[in-house]
Amino acid sequence: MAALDELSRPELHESARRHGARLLDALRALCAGHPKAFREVRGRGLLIGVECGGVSVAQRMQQALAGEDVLCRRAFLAPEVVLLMPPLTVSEAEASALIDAWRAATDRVAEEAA
Amino acid sequence: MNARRRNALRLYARHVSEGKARFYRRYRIDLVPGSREGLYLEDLSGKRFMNCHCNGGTFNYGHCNAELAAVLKEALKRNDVGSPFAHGTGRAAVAERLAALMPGDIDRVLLCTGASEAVDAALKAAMRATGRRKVVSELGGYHGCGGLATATGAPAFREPFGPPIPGFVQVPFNDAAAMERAVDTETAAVILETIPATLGMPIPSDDYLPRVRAACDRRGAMLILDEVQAGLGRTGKLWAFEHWGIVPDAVIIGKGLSGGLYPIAAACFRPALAAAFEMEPFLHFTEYGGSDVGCAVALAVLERSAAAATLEHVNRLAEWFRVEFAALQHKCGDSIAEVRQKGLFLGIAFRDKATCTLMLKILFDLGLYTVYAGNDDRVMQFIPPLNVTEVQAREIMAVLHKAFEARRKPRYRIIAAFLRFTSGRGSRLSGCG
Repeated sequence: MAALDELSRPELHESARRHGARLLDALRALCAGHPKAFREVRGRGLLIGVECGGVSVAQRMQQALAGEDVLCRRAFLAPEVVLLMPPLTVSEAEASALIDAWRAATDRVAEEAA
Repeated sequence: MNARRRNALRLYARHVSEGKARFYRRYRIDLVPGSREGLYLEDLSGKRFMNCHCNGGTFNYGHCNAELAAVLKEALKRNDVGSPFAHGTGRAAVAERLAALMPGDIDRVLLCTGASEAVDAALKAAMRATGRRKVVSELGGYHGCGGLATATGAPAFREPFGPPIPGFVQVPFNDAAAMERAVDTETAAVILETIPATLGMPIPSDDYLPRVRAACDRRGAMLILDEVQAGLGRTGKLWAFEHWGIVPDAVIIGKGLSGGLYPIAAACFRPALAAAFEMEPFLHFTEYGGSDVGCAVALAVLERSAAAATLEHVNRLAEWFRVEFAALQHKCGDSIAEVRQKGLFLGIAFRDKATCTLMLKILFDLGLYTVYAGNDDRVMQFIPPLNVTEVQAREIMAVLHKAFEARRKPRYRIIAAFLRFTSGRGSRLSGCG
């Protein structure tokens, strides 16, 4: 009951929309510079998938993100896609940290590829 | 009827199941549990019941067991459900404990959300390990309501959903010759409840399970024993199959493992069955199976269930009930056809369905709650908490005696006539116990 109460709070939905839109914009901007490494950044709200150029790129992104203290998964049946699903309660600062981590991971993976 | 109770009944019928609500209403056994502790649970009307069904053993240590609840509260301070994508310390600890408590080389454990899922996992493992598809189960058995588990159960639970899954066959329980005929070189697994609760606790004859084990060995089939209700000390031994001196290939545990507090179940395998999940570790995947907080409770439950003091208590109380039920049977003439018992796992077989239903109704009115066996509605299940005290046991027997005396009251004579008239009607899915 408490979870349903929390999940039906309009502020939570608004927060998820706002942070989700910000994350999508930021990730699209970061990935745009590496068209071979990233094919598409897609999602809605805080359900985000980044389709990488291949499984190996996705694996390296996952590892690089772990190096930045960000745990994420790849899609089980599409392992070239990195999934980002932060908690719906993610804060402004946490969303910023996630963007910074993605930037650092992207730089590292791009550097390795170069 | 107080407003809170009335509202709960209305919402249940409106949003959960009008069918169930109608059934409970029809027999005036519409229990709405409120506060509860140990043997007792209180309806929102204020009426107090002794729970002698315990959800088939879910409440082996009574309702809201204080010690187990304390373990859960403590676990919640630093844990949550955990992640199936990571090594779980809780899973590892429970698996290690179960491996130590199981006989033979049963040392691999898949933790699940419920026993139905564990049954599915065990059947998948058996099919994968043997490369076969045929599964033999007992007529009138019950192994859960989902997936492959449904295919092993009674027709009423599976026929509404289309043709049967090919390769699933059933034979009468306790008929070793029928089992020996059914198990062949195409058989992946035989799955049985060691003592089938839903069939009214028929106690297998001394040679039945050894002969089933031998038939499986001869044909290379896996023997999966469902100890969801009969296991965890219920029969006076930690595992019910110990009474027959056999070791299965897989054991399914559920209900009581949860402490009645946090859902958890387990499929325990010998290495040959576990091999399927070793090669393809994500072949069976479960989000909440073996949650960290559930594992904390399960560890505490296993500690209790395996304790010599627990088993001694169960055996002492079981012997007391054996004598008491024999006296009750003697007193009640032919109303009770048979008392089936292994430890504190009892099925009271009445002469017919109407008598059983009447007795359940009278017991309900007198504050003793239990149900009939879903696949043999002549049999009343009697599954008190394992930690029931001697004082409480005497209180339970006093109510049983009183119930038999109450049969002669005009009110119950009318109900008895109604039940005889309607016998055979109604849902066959009314009790999954």
